Amino acid sequence: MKKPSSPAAILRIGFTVLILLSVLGFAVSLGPSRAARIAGAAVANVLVDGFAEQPGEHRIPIIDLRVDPAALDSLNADLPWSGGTNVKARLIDNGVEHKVRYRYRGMYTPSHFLGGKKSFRLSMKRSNPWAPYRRVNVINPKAHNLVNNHMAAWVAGSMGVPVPMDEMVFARINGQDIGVMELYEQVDGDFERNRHIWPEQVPVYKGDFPPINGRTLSKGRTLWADAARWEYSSKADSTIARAKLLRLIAALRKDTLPMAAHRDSIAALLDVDAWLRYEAALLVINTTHVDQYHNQWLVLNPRSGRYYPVLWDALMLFAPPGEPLYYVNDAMSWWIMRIPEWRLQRDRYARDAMQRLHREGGFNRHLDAVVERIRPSVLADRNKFGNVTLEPEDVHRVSVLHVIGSLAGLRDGAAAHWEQALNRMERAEAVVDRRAALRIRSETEAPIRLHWTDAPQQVLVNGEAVQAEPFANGWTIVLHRELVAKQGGKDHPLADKQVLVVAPLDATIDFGGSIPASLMLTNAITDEPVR
Amino acid sequence: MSRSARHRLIGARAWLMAVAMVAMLLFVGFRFVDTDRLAGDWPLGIEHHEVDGYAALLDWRSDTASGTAERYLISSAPEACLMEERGPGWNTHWFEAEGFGDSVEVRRLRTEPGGFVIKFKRSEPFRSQRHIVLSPARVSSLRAKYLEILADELGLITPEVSFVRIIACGKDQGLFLKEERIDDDFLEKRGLPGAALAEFGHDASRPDHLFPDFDDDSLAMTDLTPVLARAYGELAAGRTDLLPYLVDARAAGALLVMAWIEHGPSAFDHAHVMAYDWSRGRLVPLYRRSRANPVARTAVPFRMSDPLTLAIVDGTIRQYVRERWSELSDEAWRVRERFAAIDRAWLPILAEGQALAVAQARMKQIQEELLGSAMLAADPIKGLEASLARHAGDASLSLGLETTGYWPGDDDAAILAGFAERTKAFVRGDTLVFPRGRYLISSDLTVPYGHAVVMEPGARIEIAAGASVMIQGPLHVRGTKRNPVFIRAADDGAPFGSFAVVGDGTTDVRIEGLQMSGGSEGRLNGVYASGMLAIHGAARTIMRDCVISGSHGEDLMNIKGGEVQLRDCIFENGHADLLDLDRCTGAIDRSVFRNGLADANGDGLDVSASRILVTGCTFSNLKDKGISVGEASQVLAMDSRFDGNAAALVSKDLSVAFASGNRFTGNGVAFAAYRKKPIYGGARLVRYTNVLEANARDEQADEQSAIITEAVLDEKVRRMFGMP
Repeated sequence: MKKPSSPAAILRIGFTVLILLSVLGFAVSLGPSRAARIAGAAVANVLVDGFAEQPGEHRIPIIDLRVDPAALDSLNADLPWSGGTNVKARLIDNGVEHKVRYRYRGMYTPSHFLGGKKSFRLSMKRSNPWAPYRRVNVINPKAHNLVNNHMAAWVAGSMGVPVPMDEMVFARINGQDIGVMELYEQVDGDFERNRHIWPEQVPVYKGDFPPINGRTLSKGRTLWADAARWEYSSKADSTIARAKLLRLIAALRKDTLPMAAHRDSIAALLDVDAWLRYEAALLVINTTHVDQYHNQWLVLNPRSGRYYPVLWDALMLFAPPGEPLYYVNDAMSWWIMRIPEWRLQRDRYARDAMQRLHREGGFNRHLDAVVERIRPSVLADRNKFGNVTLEPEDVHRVSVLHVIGSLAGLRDGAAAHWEQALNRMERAEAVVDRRAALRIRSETEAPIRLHWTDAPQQVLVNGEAVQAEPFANGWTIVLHRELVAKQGGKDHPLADKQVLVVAPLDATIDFGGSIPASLMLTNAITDEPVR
Repeated sequence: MSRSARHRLIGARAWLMAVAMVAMLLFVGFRFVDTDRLAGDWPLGIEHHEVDGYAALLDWRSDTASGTAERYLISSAPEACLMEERGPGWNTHWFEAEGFGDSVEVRRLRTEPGGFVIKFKRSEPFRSQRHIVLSPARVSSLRAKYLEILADELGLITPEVSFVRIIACGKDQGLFLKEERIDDDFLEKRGLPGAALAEFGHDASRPDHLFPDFDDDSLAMTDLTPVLARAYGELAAGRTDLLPYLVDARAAGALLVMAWIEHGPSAFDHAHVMAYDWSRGRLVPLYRRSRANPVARTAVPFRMSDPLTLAIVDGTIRQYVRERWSELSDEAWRVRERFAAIDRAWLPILAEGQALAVAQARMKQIQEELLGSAMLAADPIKGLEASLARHAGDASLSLGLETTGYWPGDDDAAILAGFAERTKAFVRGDTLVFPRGRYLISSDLTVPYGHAVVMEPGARIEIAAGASVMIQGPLHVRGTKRNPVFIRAADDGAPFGSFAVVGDGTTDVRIEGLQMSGGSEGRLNGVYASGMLAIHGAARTIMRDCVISGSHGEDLMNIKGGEVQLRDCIFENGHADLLDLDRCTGAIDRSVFRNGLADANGDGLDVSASRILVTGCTFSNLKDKGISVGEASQVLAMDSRFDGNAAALVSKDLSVAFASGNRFTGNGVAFAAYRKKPIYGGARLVRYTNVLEANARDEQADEQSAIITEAVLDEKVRRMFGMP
């Protein structure tokens, strides 16, 4: 005879049935994949994160905030529209209470304001724990790309690109742990003063989505089409800066003027070297998150009177793997790609960086140090949030597994991207035909440098006279590669998401006599001999 | 047999037994276990203060400590309490200590929990200190005192450290570590007046660590940042040999040793401070105990490449580090004795109520960490070496920061040859020679390091308006009374800048038969020269038969450092002070100081932090003081005349002036003594036999100062000034 079930067993069965039903309900309403991902993240968070006991002392700074709960409730109730509203708060550091202003930020991306780890901005007085910085963003870095932006800033900074100060921090609000967040400087007129280079504010323009008015999200505008689309973000006098911006935008307009005229106009208004490093960094960190519409900053260098860019919100590996070498982020990229000597210098910067970061292990060493630094804080963080599906609103609590996966993904993704880009830059193969003239044909992408010592300075390249430049006791010319728009693409500075591909090379070089015996062909990016 | 399932209560006897056993074990442990062991690290997260608590109760081997520290009383307005203030801003309180009471500004210390900064009025500093920093003290705070001793042994400028008891909010708040704050007044007292204070962080990825954070000195930022940017570029290319031209190499070596002792391999996790000395154009590293405990960073792969991190790569500075380290190793026994003396003085106070033996053992461990055999066996150079980089966008941000002008290591021979070619001067060996003739210096001229300049009788140097000359080696002016050397403005109506010698402490300057006029002051290569004729950092300056007159700047002539011997010179008609001597020793004989300019307002001889014998000189018609003796100087004025000056002989700010055999006629006041700069104390002036005629007042002194009359010039005083 069967024993009657105990009340506890009945309860257990009932509970299981309830869970199954709720999963079923979610699966029906959200779709099985989405429901499974959300449930998986929740289960992993509860089961896995709970194992982290006494993870040790934090090795990253702690942001300890006190905000009036009523003010927080009021802001929370009206997100994302309350994002522009500041409330008073106190930042506690070494027992000192610093008065700050606190506001939420990030209206366009739900991961900033959905979930339990909301991105915010602090505005502080001059003497504050983060001095000299007075305005900082503290953002939810999303557990599945926890340090991507932080590492992007480091990579670009190491390439000589101006970047905001960027630190991983552990946030606490009203005594409650919020978790690991990324703190970075808000760019403004103090950009150079914060770096102790210039004693006053400098002109700064922000190129981003238009400010929100009312309760609708505004649409992006093509920044380089009109100076009015750049928002002035400094207290310095803007008269000269504005005039220069107008001239810069005019110089970027495609017209009938020769390329050299555009090049010279742009060079008079930009710190070209800074911009080439910036473009190289965009390739190295493989991002398309800086585009015609947002994430751009222009700072007017008060010493040179020229603009330089600041890398902003680049999100390392934002672009899908296998992006081309010549992706056009915006109008400025388009011109830089079109001016062959600038493009070459960009490629050289990018290649140098990838060698240092990838081949010499610089990236992994720094990433290891970052991981080591954030480890106790990530383990202590029971509030990891991120998008668990492709739906923007699916910002849910995730687990340390997601973080581990994201770090491994970053490491592997960066290595794969760099290996591929380096291979493309370093491959230089040519078919060389030596007759009266020299014919060089190449299907690989690298430009080819010719140098010689025992022949004239002037040569004919495809029938056009070219003056060679002095080079190591001889002369040199570079056979730059022609870039063409990918099939079906628009070839215009203001066009969106363009891809330029390298056309095959077929050049005839006439030395006006015999081909010099000393002639050497090298890859102009790597200086290695051409095969 | 089975155990009874009945629940049994634990009786009172069992409880008592358990408690007694634990107490007995603790007692035995604390009674017999070696104090070194007690003071060491404990497992299972047992903290030192817990052990100290038990030791105070149970360790009866020695007396518990007791002692008294000086008390500072800080009282507040009714219903206000210092300890409850949490904001970062200043609040007014009343401060009392022995012999002092005033209202002060107090704020929370931002870099260490529980601490305060007290700001005294500029006019009423507390024992010569404008700011003091207080942070809660424990036994282990003695480490700060040990570090002060070590920094002092290494010859570093460092704030004074002591311990005080704070009474605030009506009760005893315990012992606090008191540190002097490094500020302008601190630098002035340490011989760096006007120096620009800068903090250097060393994190290669922090943009704010790219360049030094100068404290309220935008001129230093704009002047020095381009120099540093250029230096970093050259240093990155492997040219570290120029670092000693940017940084005081000896102090850098000493600071690296201190950084190693204090923090070991994590030395560069902490920021360091340096003062930019405008008179030498050098950064002078200072030692300040790290207050902020940076968040424990792990294996940071890169350090910011800056003057301190690079110093470890530079050959000269590495050698200084080795020398300092070796000296410290040799003298470790003596330093330990100084530590022991500190322990005797402070440990009973700091360990009040605790077991003294345990506290002593704990301090011995700290001493061992700082200067023990294991520490001394380590190699600081190896330990401090790090991968250096300048991330955070340096390559782009440095665009446009290039500096022009002289640069150490440029082709010195070519610079001299180029200059000689433009003028009629010639180069002989490493010396630039100006023979008899006329020379026009039309723009700034910097004579490279170590190269001498010789001016022969009859040389006439004309310097263009605003241009300055800087000689970075010996100067020999070989004029005579009848056949002088002239240095003049090329255009009478437009003054040149400065004619300056900037030496390295071993440089000789001998000037004879020079007639100079028409200059002002200058800034060149990061050096500010306040004198039309400026001599900084010479070992000796000898002047004979010179006429220095008619300047438009701060000083007619300024000598900073070294020995001076001046005879038969005339200093006249300067816009402000005529001869300014800072940190000098020596004598001035048979010289004339006079001012006939109606709009001038300066002293004849202005002496700071110096010891000078003045004999047979004349001081006349000076709108301010004939001789101004300031900033802890000593001057003996003998057999001189003081005629028609606003004040004849004035002693200020901890100085002592002695006057014997002088004649004072028609002065506003003959003798004066007072405190001018509040960070110093009062002054003394000793009058011996002098003749005083028709002076408006004979003497005048403030309440902190004294004018003493004595009959005969003391033998001790004569010896002090090198007189037989």
